[in-house]
Amino acid sequence: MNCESARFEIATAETETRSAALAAHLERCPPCRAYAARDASVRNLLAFKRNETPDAHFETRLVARVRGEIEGTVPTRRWVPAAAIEWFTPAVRWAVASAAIVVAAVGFLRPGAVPVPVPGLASEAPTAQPISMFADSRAPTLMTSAVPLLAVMTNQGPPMLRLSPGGPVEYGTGGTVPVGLQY
Amino acid sequence: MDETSPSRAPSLAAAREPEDGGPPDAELVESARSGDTPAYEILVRRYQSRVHGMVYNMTSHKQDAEDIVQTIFVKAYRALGSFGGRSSFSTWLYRIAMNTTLNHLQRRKRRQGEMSLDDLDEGAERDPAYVELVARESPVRDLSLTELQKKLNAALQTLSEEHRSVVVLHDVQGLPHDEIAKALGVNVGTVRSRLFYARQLLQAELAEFAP
Repeated sequence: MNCESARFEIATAETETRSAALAAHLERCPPCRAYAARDASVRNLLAFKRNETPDAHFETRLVARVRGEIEGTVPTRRWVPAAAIEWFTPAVRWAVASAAIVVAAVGFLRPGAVPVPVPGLASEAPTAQPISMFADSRAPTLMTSAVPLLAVMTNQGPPMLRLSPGGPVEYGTGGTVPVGLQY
Repeated sequence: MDETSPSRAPSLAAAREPEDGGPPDAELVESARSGDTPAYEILVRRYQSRVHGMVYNMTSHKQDAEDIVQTIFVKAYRALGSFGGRSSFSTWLYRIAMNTTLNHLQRRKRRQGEMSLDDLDEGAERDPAYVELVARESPVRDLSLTELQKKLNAALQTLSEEHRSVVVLHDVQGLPHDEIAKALGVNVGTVRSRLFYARQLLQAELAEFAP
């Protein structure tokens, strides 16, 4: 038996009984005896880890949580699957937001397009003014429906957009359009 | 400790017999399959400690371990229909547990190195390994239990997941090689090779504790 096979047998032994060949090898090989001592030390140290236990209430908590999951009495902890969150990266958010702008713009520029009014906008925002790039006075109606969507999707909004706390959305070059964020 | 009589991992033969005096696993599995939730709860109580030990030692993170153990038992319950009984329930459960844990570790890569440790049993300071370490003239004789715990966890975390899994299942959990092979879906020779290699790495990592 050579040292390599002796050490393999030492490390992988499942019983305390050693083969005659290993015993003979250890008798005449001090390095392998030292190896066996180190291996025993590592085993004992790893066995020490059996002293690590969860806190006293772990079992009770676990059983309650598993029961809740099985019986459907506990709502899932995430209302959006983790995979969806990981997939919805900032780049994707911007892409979706850009697509939303394009869709809104196409809808707005299409000849004969009828804008969708935001309920209550006219009465809540009598002073709303279209920004200069849209000469049509219906423009803010469409844009205000797209802007909060954009803000929500990007979480920060484009450079010209600011969400005021609980109040109007500011955008454009100084124009302020009060809108409700109820969709 | 005398190298000729190293402590051996305890046999799991006893673990297959219900230590809680309850019905055997197969009976509980059958009941649980037919919707008997309390029967499944007995299985959860019976195996939670071993599953937690495996998950905790793979992750070195007690909060993560608790969440993962819950996921494992819920997954296992939902998969009971696919349990064919060709292996023991515990082996089948270990397989689910290891796969779930490895998936978690793959997702957790970005915060690798974080540790949060379990509590130590009250009798930990009487553990033979610790007693021997403290008794010996060694630079680490004044090591506290918590420091030892941290060093052991850190050493385990240096192993690859495939090597760590074998060490955890054999040296910490006490599973025999053939059970580990079934739980990991590899052959016994692979288990032994991984164990041999992992022990060599751990000897180097834990050299300061060497006799």
